[in-house]
Amino acid sequence: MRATPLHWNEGSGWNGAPQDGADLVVYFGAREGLRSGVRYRELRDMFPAAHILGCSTGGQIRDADVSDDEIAGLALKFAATNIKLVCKEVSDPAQSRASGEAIGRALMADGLAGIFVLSDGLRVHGGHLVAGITSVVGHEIPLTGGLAGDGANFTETMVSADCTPRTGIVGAVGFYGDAIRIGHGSAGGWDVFGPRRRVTRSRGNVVLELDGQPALDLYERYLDASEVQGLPGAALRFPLQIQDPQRPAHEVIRTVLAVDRDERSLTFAGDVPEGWMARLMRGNFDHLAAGAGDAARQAYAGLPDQMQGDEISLVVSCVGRRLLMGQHITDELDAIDEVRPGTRLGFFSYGEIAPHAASGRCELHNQMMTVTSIREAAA
Amino acid sequence: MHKLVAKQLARAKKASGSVDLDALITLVSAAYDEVDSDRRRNERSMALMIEEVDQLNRGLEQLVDERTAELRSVRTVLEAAINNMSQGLLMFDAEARLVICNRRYLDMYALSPDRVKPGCTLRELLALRHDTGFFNEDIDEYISTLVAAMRQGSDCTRLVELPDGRTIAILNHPMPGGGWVATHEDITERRRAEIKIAHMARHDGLTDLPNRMWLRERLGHALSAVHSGERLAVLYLDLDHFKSVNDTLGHPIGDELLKAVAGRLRRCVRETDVIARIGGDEFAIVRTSLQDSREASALAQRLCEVIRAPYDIDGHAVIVDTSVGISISPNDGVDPNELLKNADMALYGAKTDGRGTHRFFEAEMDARMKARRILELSLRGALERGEFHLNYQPLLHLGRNRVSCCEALLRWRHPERGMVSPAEFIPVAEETGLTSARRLGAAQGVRRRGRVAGRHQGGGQSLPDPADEPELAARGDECPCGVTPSLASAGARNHRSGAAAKHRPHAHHAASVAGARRADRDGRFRHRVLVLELSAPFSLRQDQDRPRLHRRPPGRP
Repeated sequence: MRATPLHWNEGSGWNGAPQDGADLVVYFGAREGLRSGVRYRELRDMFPAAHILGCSTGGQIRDADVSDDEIAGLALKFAATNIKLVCKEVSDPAQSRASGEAIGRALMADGLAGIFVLSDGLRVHGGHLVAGITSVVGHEIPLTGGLAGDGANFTETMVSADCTPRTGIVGAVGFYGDAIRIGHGSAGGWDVFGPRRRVTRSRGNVVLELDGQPALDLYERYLDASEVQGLPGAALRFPLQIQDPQRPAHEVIRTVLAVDRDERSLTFAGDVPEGWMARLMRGNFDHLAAGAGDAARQAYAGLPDQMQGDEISLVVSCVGRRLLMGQHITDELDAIDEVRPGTRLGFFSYGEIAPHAASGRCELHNQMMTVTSIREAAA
Repeated sequence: MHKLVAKQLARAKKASGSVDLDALITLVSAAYDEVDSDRRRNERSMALMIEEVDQLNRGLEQLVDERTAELRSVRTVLEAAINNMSQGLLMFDAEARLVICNRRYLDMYALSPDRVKPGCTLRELLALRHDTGFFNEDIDEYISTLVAAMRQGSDCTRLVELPDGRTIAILNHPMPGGGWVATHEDITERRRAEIKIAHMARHDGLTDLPNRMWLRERLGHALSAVHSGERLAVLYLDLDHFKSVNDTLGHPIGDELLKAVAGRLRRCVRETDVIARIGGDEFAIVRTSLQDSREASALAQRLCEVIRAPYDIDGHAVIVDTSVGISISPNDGVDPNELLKNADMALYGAKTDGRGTHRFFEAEMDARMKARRILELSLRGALERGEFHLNYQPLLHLGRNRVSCCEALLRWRHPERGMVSPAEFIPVAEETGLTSARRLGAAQGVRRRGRVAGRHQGGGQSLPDPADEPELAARGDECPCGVTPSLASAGARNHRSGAAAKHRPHAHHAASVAGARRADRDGRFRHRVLVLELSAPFSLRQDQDRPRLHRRPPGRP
């Protein structure tokens, strides 16, 4: 496998295009940078035979750097690996699961070694999408990826899957063959604080009461006045740990996607049934960076040592972590670099997709750092 | 250089390589703002957390206070309940250390609450009980047995007799976690009551002799020895004419007589014999390891003699006799019921043979009894079916040459057997209480025919009205046939032997009975006939088949 980093900026345009083309081009950029479709068409011109997959973000990751105005990409040329790209348009979030199932069916074939999926971050129910795919391919096939971002705006997200970037798109690429190995890792690094609270009233993914009190009232106690005004974006700094009492070891982190000031409710990225426990979380720069290092260790631990070859890592981190850490966000990438220096591409997302570190079940995460390591055996 | 500063410098570097100071300052300033914001968030969250923890702490303290008060209240109630239990209660932990001990336990074994406290070991507790005299077992063995049972999860129960006579039931019940709970219940009164009830169930309340049930049980046990070659006798006895004692002197005297008889019986038997009151005036004695039938006979004779001796019951001189039936195992049976039945049959034989004696069971007795039962059943239906009739035999007064009286002779024509001898059916009728029926049925015939006879005699004396016959029946009950002297001398219809008996000392009555019995034994008077007197005295004469009344010739006694 040959991996060629690509990047584009206003001043110098595209840099780093390989001469011998590519099988797969992955690219990430700010929504405004992708919206016109010009960048996609330029890539298509450069790589007419390649599958092209990309999305809008809350910031692009290229090796150990983070940028907002550049477009970062990677052109991959495989030696012995086949790939297949599927693009599904989801016009209604309620179709999320069905779309996932369709993608699963389209990609499910002998030799499927892993799937990397990018989805619209606002118009697709990420949890249902993942459930749809895994219902077909199972949890043994590594499924990683993320939901497209839009900075801290939460206005519009776009995905490009052999098409110009647009909303409501889910693109997924499947990797086939014995030569390729895909590892994965996910970690948070968030610290819980405050008492454990019971979800006493909820409706799907909308939590109305915690411990019998209006959920938003309780949540706002932890924010200062400017942060309260900044909801729901400010809520990225204070995710919630959600736990099913029946599965105490299976904790997930959820970000508040929206608030209803009249109903005093919080809307999360996934369902939060009544009776579940919820606990507020806060970030510590060092702990979050350490979490990123944990994710990298998991991802590389999944690759066989005896199989030598080129490798890259695709990094998907939550935009909330970036908002919280500010310029310290590069500490995350430094932590990954300390675990495994190398070619790295990624973005800050509205949701991360990876197997759960404890259960191994592929799920949608919030506020997590996920690392997908890809290695192809040397030809 | 801090790596963040290095990155800020790199980002602020222009294409020319120089640093854009404004951009750098902006980055540095933003970094400070971010750190400040983070610090404020952390401080705020820490403050909130402290506030919440404090709030929770206060809530918990309040909860602890409330729960403590509740627990105190519950404990007070629990202690009151435990200390007012009728049982002694102990609870031990897995190390056999006392957790709970109630007041009742301390009182039960006279222990001091100062020495029996939670934490003391079972060994110490048992040693204290030993000191107060309420534990005299081997302490080590006791503990080892108890602890082993508790570890196996089995209940351990004991019944302890204390030196002061109390009986304590102890139950040790294992609990989860290795401890156990022990209850000590004073069941002295309950045991006494149980023993009393068991005694009452097996003994006769009047004489305190074993009753029929207990006799049967004991007989069953005794018979197991018979299987190994021994012999055993059952003596079944009842008091002759005991009913008349009750009727004439009253039941309290009758009861006292039974007690006195029981006392005499006790003195007649060996310690290994079983003596029981079967019911009413019936008693039974079981003699085990019998040498031979003579031994049983000797015992029966002895019983008759001892019982026959006069009694003084509340100033009444009472003489009563007894009849004894004997069955011997294995010859007469190896089953308690069979032996008792056969002894009863032998008793009947003794009664039939004149009372005041004993008889051994004979196989023919059984056949006779069956025939008698068939006869009795037929006799009961005979009255309804009109199978009785009377034959009159006029007696001619030779001196006057006229009929002086009639014999009314009762006859029974059985539909299958034909004429049944009075010698056969009259005793059965008398013994089964059918006398009255016979008398009435016959008397109806007498009345009808008497009137005819009267008319035939042309205005002579009429026959007596059978409605005035009860005294005859009463007399018959008391005196099977030996009533001749009084009947003959009285001569009048208004003779009231029953009424007369009420005024006679009972000893005289008993003598009269004995006289009658002797007459029976002599075989002189076997049957009774209905005699219709006219006016003159009669002499009594017996022929081969039935007794007949003849007018006594003048001048002869």
